[in-house]
Amino acid sequence: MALGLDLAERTETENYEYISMVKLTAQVAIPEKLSGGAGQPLTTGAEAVWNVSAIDRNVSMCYVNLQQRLQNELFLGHTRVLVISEDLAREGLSRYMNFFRNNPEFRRLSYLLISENKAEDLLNTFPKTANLQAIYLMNLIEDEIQRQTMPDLPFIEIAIRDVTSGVDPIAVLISSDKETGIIKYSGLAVFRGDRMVGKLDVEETWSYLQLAEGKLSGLQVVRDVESEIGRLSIVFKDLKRKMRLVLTEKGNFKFECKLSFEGIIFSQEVPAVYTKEIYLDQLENRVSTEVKREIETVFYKVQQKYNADIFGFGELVKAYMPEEWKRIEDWHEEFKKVELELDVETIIRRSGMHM
Amino acid sequence: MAMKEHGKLTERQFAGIIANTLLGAGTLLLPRDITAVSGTGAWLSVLIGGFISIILLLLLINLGLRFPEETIMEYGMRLTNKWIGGLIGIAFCTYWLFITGIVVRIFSLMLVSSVLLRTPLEVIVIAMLLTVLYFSRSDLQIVGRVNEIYFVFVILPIMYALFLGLREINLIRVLPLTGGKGIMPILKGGLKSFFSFLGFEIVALFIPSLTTQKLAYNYSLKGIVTPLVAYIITMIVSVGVFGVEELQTLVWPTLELIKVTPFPGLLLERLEAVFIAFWVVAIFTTAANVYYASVVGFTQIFKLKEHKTLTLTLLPLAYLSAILPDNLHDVFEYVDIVTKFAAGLIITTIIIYFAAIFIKGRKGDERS
Repeated sequence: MALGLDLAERTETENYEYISMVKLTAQVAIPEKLSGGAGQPLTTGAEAVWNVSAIDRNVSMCYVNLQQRLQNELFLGHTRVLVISEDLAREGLSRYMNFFRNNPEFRRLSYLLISENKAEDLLNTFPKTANLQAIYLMNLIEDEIQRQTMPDLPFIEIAIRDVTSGVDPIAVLISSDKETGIIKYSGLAVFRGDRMVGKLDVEETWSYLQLAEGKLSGLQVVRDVESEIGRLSIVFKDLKRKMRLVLTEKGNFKFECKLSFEGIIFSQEVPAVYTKEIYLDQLENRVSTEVKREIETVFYKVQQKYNADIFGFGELVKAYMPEEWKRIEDWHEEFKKVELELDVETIIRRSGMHM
Repeated sequence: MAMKEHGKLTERQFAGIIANTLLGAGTLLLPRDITAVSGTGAWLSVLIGGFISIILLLLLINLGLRFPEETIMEYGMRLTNKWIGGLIGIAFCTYWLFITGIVVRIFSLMLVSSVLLRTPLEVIVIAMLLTVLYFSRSDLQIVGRVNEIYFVFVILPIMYALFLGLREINLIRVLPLTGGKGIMPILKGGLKSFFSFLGFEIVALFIPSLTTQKLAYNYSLKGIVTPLVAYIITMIVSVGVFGVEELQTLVWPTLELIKVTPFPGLLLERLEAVFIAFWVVAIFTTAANVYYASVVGFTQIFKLKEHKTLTLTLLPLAYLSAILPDNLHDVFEYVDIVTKFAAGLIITTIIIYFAAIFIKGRKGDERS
């Protein structure tokens, strides 16, 4: 390449806490390796990128420090993914995010991920199919979002949730294994204020998505109605969500949520035949009960254990009962007393190709 | 120098001048400033601010049409006396001059903090002011034509950005529509939003040059409703995307809005550069129109022959007012003061002149 300016940097920045020292690792793409000559295979994985780290007191110092290790100027506008390690997230996000928020180059729509391992390790994990690791990560997230199994959480959304009262931030959790090169979506990080307080695993995340965002999410597995031995997997094709907010006599908020699912039978372990109306009805009831139970478990876990309003119920109160909202001083206290009334309804439409 | 010697304005150009003068620096700051006061009821504030401006604008036109041959500077001095009329005229012109500087300053501040990171602020200010200078040396006819053409470049990108933004709205953040804080914050926000509507008073200078004065009301309404609609959509979109609390943390909310609205497909990323390029046009038309009005106003007060004499002389003053504020917060404070001053000035002027007409019992001049 002729000019250094053309350099397609993938700056992935990550920090991990080391006695109030921060380590910033930048993943920089090596332009020569990316171009690929005639007939030559493209270099992939670890060879196409270079991970450079710098350790310093805060993100800005790291950035300056990192710059001294690189000949070309770091251009944060290329950042696709910002990975933050879990231990750092537990310390509080705001002070680390501020650097990126102030930077005019940094993309507001790049993704912020929380890594269960060290963020540096995540960046050093190279899946076999990954051409460029950063792009692989980005595609992984975007695919999950399209499948509606992951909430769409660009950097700016987390920043918004951070400052908005009445909703707490969540972030996507990623775990990685250097040996096998597997990068995996492992649920959601739950924040209270800007501190990470807990996790939801992937299945809990599905329930969260159904309740908070009305997204379809993954599979629902229930026991077979006829034989009670095998299991059935249901995949949802449509979900309608209706929320209603009422004030109970005790002065607490009650959220009445009605979820109507439409699903199809995805697979079944025993050859039960769901042509009989009564079986189908029972199956639908069973799915509804199961979904309801799962969502309620997640809700009470988040409410009681983490006391973080990641569902944005506070925003609903603010929007529909502004008078009541003015009276509330600490939404987190109020959120502890929130009641949830779930009404789940399921219709099974099809049973696949095999009876 | 009578204005009519300077060529004529068509009605469409007249509307273009109003719209272009209004759409400017206000768009950059509007969402944060007003939501800070009136929360989610901000769009109502803008509506109220807009309606007050429309009423004042119509009153000004009514006043102007009573003296179809003269500008506000000329009939002002005749209606009252040399001193009161002259003082009001000078107040207007000084304030227009000041606005020129402030608008250019606000835009330069945005440029240096977001795109041209290594350019000194003064360079941008001077570059913009020189363009304004070049523009203001031309005749009214040219001013009209430029505004007519540039109107497209101003309104289309803004509207396009906003409609892209509409997809990103989170409806829950727009509610409650009334802000939920009562009526007072909304009214206060209305006054604040007035800054974004400032500039319409320059029509008082252009009325004598209109080809068909009967249509003045009609087209001035068209001219002012366009920005009003644009502002209201800006408010709703930015509140919907960011929420009130996040907006308070953003220095340039509208720019940030464009940064977070993805262009469909990965075709064009970092679209903000394109929008900033168009914004230059919007800011330029605002600053240039206001500066032109200031120059012409001074010319008429001091009864000079040609307005070109003053264009270069007044420029250092505009530059001074641009670099006078120390920092961002100073700029915002100046904006606040100017807004209040301008609102007071326009209202008192209208009251004084209408009172003078009433006392002297004149119905105004016939058109010759």
